[in-house]
Amino acid sequence: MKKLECCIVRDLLPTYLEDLTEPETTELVRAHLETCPDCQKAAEQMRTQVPVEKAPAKHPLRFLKRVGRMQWAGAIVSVLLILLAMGWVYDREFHYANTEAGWQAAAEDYLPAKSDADETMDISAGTPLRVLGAVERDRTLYVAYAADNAEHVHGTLILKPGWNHKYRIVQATLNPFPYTAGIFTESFGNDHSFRLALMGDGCREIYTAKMTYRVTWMGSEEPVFYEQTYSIEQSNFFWVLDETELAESFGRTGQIPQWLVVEKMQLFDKDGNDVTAQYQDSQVEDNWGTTKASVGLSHVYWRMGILALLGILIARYFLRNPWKR
Amino acid sequence: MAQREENLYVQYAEQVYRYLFSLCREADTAEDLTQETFCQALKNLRTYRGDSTPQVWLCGIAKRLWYKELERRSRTTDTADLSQTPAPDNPAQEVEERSQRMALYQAMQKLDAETREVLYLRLSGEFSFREIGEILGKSEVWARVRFYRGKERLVTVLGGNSV
Repeated sequence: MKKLECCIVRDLLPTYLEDLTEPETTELVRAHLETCPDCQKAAEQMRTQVPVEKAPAKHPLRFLKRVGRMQWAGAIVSVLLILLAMGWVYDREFHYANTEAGWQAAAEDYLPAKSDADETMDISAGTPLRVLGAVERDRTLYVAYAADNAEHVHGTLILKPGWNHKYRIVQATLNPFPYTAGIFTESFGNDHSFRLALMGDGCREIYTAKMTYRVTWMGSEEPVFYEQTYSIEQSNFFWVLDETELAESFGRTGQIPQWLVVEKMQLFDKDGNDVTAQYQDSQVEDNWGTTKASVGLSHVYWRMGILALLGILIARYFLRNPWKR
Repeated sequence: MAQREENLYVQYAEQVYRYLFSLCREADTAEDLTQETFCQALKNLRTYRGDSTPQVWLCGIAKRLWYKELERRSRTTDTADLSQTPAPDNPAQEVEERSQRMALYQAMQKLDAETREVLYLRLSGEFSFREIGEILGKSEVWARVRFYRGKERLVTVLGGNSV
């Protein structure tokens, strides 16, 4: 009799342990368990708590937004690399620092002709170049240079600053200078402003210079002549005068110079003797002048744009949810 | 997500997650695979014929994905990694817990696959017997009986140590 009861009780145990049995059955099973050690052991074993981890509660919203640490790492690293690449592209264009080394590098990189140098109008590769000075006005950097070649080419490099505090060359002028030393002048004029550059080259023995200018003022047809005397304190120097300073120096404050040409230059030694002839080079004729200009910035911008786009695509790939490993 | 798909997610995501956790017992894996499950489910929404509840259908997808993951892991690592719970601060306690987990794992392996699955679904996933029955295509009573018989056997295997 006992044996039969045990099989039945065993079968009933799962239901009994879940409190799903009818009250009468519950009572019968309980009574049996009190007296039967085997069935009691079975019930104990069935009741045992098994230490299995329960699923940790997860906030449902986190499901949709979860992006793994590795994904973030991948995204951040690739974005940094892209930014580095963009910075490098920018730096290749805005490359020159506003320092002596920067000016020299700009002159040496930009001025010599790359291929098929014209005999007279280009500076051939390897020509020594000397920077005479640099002046920055209104976010434009002017660098005066002299080339030690047959035509004594002088001119100015014009640079504009970028966000990295370095400069890019916008254009350069090349002009013959029929003197072995003295003051070379150049004017820069556009719709917005007029500037006069004076660069002194090798003026060790020259103490004063008298320049005769022919100036055409805005609003009048007739050019006017002016004489200006400068005392020279340095062997090499570079001045850039804007239109207000020019007008003042000519006693025409408020007027705007439209065009300026140097009619005559006279150089004097420390005793006041006119030594201009000593420095003249009759082999050189002042009969040409060229400008070299850079292509625009568009190639820099579209390259940076492509890199930026690439960066966005790569970051999106990494931050994709879910992430396919 | 479109409205219908979002409803599907909102309604079943947690259960699918618990199901996956009861299979793999790794929270991160369960989360990742839950997302993949829904991705696949949404792609194959057309193939769902409605002859099982959405929960069962989703769990089927989840289980397949878990097996794929197991296969991928077996190709890259030799040893079967036991539960990856983070180590507690107390090293002595950790050693104790590790050996306990090891013993439990090995004891579980001695049960047949279905009983083992029932145990994990109940203990880890905290599913009701009715749900377990649905997922495994059996009755609620079957699930209940399997569960308790499984526990009894487990305890026997573990040498009757009260855990």
